[in-house]
Amino acid sequence: MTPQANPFAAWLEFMARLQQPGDPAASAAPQLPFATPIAGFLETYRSSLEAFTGSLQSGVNVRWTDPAAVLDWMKTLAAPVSVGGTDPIARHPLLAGLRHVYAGAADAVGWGAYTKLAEALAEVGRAQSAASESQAKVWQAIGEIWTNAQNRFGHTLRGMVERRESFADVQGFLRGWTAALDEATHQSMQSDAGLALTAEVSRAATSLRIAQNRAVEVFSELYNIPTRAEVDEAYRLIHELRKELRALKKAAPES
Amino acid sequence: MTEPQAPQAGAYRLLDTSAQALAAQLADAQQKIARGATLLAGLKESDIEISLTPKEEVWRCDSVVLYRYRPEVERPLAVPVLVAYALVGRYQMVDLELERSFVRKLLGQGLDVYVIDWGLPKRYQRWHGIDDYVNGYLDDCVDVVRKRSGAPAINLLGICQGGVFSLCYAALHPQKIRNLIVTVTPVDFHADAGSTERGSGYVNRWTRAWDEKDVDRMIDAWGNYPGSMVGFSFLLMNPVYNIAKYSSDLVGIVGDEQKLKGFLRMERWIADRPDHPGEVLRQWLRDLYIGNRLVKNELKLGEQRVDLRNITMPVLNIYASEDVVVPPACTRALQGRCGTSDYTEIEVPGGHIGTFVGNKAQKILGPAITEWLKARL
Repeated sequence: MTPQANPFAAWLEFMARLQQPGDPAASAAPQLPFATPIAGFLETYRSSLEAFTGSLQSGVNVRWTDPAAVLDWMKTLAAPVSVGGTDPIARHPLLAGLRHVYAGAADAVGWGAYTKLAEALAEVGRAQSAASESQAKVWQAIGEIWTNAQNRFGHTLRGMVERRESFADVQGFLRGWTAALDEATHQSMQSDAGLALTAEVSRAATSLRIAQNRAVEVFSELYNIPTRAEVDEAYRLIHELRKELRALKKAAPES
Repeated sequence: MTEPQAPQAGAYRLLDTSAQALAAQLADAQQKIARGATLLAGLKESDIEISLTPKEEVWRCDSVVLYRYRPEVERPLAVPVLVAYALVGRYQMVDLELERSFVRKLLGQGLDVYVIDWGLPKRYQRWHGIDDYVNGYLDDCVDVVRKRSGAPAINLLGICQGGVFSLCYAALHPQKIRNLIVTVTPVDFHADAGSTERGSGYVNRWTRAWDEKDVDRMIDAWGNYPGSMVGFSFLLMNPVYNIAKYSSDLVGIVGDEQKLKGFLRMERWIADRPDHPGEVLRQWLRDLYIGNRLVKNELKLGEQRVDLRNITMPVLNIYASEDVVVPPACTRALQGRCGTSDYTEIEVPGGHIGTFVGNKAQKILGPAITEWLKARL
């Protein structure tokens, strides 16, 4: 090891690089889901090693032969890796890689339940957000329907004035408004945009339900409760067996 | 609508908003509402019971029950009628109240009537497909009725979705069906495409904006589709008037005890919306609403393909002139697609449900069915 190198600066550079996600373009994206964190791990290590080596080669003078000095600067490296975001581990290739290697540790110390549940609930949150966005569009559409209904009703009223017609009573007036609102509603709902919005709301609601199901499933798995999917599979088996039994009974001659 | 009135003498106004006129109208409405509130407060569960026509349970399997209604004539027609309603609502629609009971009308005309109650599907029935209903429960019910009556083939009357089941059944088991009657039954699910009729065929329109993956995700997510959501789908077909009926429309009838009870009986039926078996709904939406496979003779139940040309018995097809749930074009598409030469079509006034509970339709429906059947026995 060259005494001219500054390992402290190099180590800081190494740590700094560790906090930067590796360049995804630097290596081909893995096909296997579980290979992704491994690839991220490798890429981050490669990048950091490159920085470390570069720093060591920079020629800055350091007493690398003095163990006490080496230990002193190593103590200064205790600053934790800090990354932001809703799921910092997933966003950081090295930490994702570490989690992949030591995933069992979380379960061993009792944190696994919270981690998996937190991930599932985060997905519920995202789905809820998407559902709320689509619902906001519905409210906007209702506002437009209301405006259209007012225009329609105004047209009706003008026609009545021209013909000098009158409403028999307040109820009749309200029925007239209801008819205008009804027409405007159907016009909006039956339009291409209305049908697309209905489909969007439906899809968002389904995604939310799927995310909720997943959260419950995670909870069930963690606490050894049969999941809905497992119970349904049992039902499916019973269903198929009953069908076979029924077919056999039908095929058998009556006693 | 606007209920235009003849021009009044004196100063013209769109609406008489004089203090005197408004006070009189308000007093009238308040009086009706107060009487309605008193009536409502005094009503008991037993006052709005539905499905009161006497009947006996003759068969049961899972959630499905087969009832035979007590004949009202000494010698009913020898060949019974088996009524199959839809899964989207309960069978009591055909016997909502004594005064407007479709079943009672048929009994009074001398028919021997059986009705299937599909029941309230449990979670374990999520895997039941149309095959299970047609070749399973319906086939069992047909066999029970055949055995009890001694008739080798019986009359089958299907309503809406039950009409589709009946078409499938008649195509797959023609030897067991003497005459087939389908009412407000979709056959060509795309026949209304391009229609601009206001408020019509919403399920057709909605499903055309989906693809098959949307249906799969929905059923995978829910299993059985909740009855509350099935009900919501129906409400969404007429969102404004489904509010008006509880306000301005209700004020008009709330003071009339009989009408109020009739209204509440309908509400009771609406509230009893069963969950829809998941796999049936998957096939219903994918194969029929999206794929339109029934009319193309491509629908498969289990390993069997449903070919409408195998329907060789006499067919009576009844549709409602103002049906917005199943547009008449979708129903009338049956003509020329069955293998029978004895095909009859009847139009009844009113909407989808009005066919069975509406006063006008009631006068036509029962007698028309009976007359048609008697001519073929």
